[in-house]
Amino acid sequence: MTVTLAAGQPEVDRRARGARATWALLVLLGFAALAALGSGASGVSLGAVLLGIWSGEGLDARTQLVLFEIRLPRLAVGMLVGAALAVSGALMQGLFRNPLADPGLVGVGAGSGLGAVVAIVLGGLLPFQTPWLVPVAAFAGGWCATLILYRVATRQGRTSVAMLLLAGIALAALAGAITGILIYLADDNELRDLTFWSMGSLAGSNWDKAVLGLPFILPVLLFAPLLGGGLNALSLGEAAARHIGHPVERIKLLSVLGVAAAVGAATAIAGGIGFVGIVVPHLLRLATGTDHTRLLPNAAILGAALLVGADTLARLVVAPAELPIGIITAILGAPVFLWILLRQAPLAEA
Amino acid sequence: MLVAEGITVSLSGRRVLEGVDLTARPGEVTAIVGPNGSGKTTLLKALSGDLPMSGAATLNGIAIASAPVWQMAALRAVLAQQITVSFPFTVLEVVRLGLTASAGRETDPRQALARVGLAGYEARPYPHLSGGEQARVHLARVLVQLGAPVGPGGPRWLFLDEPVAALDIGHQLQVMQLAHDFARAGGGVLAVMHDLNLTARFARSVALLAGGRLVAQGGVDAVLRDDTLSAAYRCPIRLNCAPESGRWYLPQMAGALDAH
Ligand SMILES: Nc1ncnc2c1ncn2[C@@H]1O[C@H](COP(=O)(O)OP(=O)(O)OP(=O)(O)O)[C@@H](O)[C@H]1O
Ligand SMILES: [Mg+2]
Repeated sequence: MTVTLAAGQPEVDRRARGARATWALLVLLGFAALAALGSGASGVSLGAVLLGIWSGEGLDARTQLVLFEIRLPRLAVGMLVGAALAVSGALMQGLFRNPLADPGLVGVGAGSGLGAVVAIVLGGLLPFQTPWLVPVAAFAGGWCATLILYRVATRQGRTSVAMLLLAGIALAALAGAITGILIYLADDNELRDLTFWSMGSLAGSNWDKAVLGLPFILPVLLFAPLLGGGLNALSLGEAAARHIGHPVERIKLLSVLGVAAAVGAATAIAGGIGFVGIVVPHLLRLATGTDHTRLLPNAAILGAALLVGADTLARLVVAPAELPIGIITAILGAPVFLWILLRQAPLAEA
Repeated sequence: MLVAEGITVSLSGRRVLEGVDLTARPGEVTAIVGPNGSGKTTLLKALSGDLPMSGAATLNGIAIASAPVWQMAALRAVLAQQITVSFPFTVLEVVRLGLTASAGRETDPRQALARVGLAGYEARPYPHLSGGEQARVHLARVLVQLGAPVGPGGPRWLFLDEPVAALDIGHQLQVMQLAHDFARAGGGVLAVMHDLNLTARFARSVALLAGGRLVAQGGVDAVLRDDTLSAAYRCPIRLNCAPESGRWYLPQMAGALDAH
């Protein structure tokens, strides 16, 4: 069936497209989730799972273990992280009024990363050992980076976006330098951890990690769309947004805090996974336009689907081993990033 | 009523406005004129609450410097001299940005577009429009923000910084007529103008700035005179009268002629 829309109703058309896109994306996410649940090194197939449930015989112990303790938590973490990264990207881009802005760019990712690296390398010196050290340190790093950014870039209650970006570059450079020093101190085991971590991975996913991420990521996903109208207005500039009546400083503060929470949690539970925050909003803008009230919820869904899909690929390509997922997202994302740059070039010169 | 007293603004350590007094009444168009760099935009920004300033400014009795943004947004809309839109919104989406919870909903965005001569442009990407078309899109957005010329908080105000600078002669008249009608219906209009002829035709009150100071404010007859204009613009200007369209201003090319 084709949907005919009255001519001269482009607004209705665009909104309908946005709503249709949401449904299409949910279906896509469903397929990605089923594919993720049905594939893996253990050889338990989706068919066997469904058949077990359907026939009423239930699942055998091994299948149950694979499904409920390995694949489901990994799916949950993948969806959380993908949605968090994509929504953070869309928030940052709206805030910075630039489709190339990304949490990685303002140093939030770098801060989280540095926290994790410090924990990996120096964690052995602590008198006690805990698996929570790396996630907690990544959290702390992300928050510290955000606080420093805010101190540097905010004057008299107003945030300069240019200062924020420049401070982000400085923070990323600093984090890179400290990481470089720490690599000299690391032993072989830690080095492997480091590489794996810096590429990002969902390999260590479990319910604990999902539970750690949920309270930080879910509120951001739910409330980010409420900032959409303000971010739309910000594209006219801060002064114009204020003239229209938007509380610009509060919108900026909430966006930055939301990004810090989501990115800190995502980095903590899955490492540094790049490009999701750039690619997802960009694809959505091409498909359904710029309106942030639609872009933000759709980004959450597509981000989740994309990361779950990328993770399934990462597990299948070199099975029974697996690739760090960051490699997959970089291979998919970096060319898209360059393509955006290329298309932007004439604008930048103007 | 807009009342500003002793507005003084310093930017980057430079005194840009010095003790400017300005009064604007609803029901008429008030023009701010003066040479480049005389402080017109700075004054409009200060009155929009964008710049730290000393002095007192009230709009309908509300102190501009301390009023919350939503309250000011329900009372006045600002058309800036330069606006960039950083994402490729459609024309209609840009106009709809003016719809806010506090004001708005009184003017349909499509009607506003039609009033600025852009009916049928709704679905076009804003970046694809010409400069003058883009300027009129923002005028439509500003009209949508304000809604009716008079609201529960009294007259509503249009602050326009060179609203016709990018427009052809036909659209200049259309836009000035729109501003004039808004004022006639009880709203207030404060417009920065370079075109003295349009100013004389559509404004009732004129403020002349030069070097960051108010040189004169009053009716068109009192302010737009040969001697005050020539002194402020440093260029000989003569007032003439045409039988039908009334007064018009002609710069005298004395310097250029002397050179020959
Ligand atoms: N941020 C700033 N820092 C320092 N000086 C400034 C700043 N902004 C404006 N000025 C100066 O203030 C003066 C008034 O500027 P303003 O933009 O108000 O002029 P204007 O009357 O609107 O001129 P135009 O007709 O060209 O639009 C100019 O001399 C300008 O150089
Ligand atoms: Mg100006």
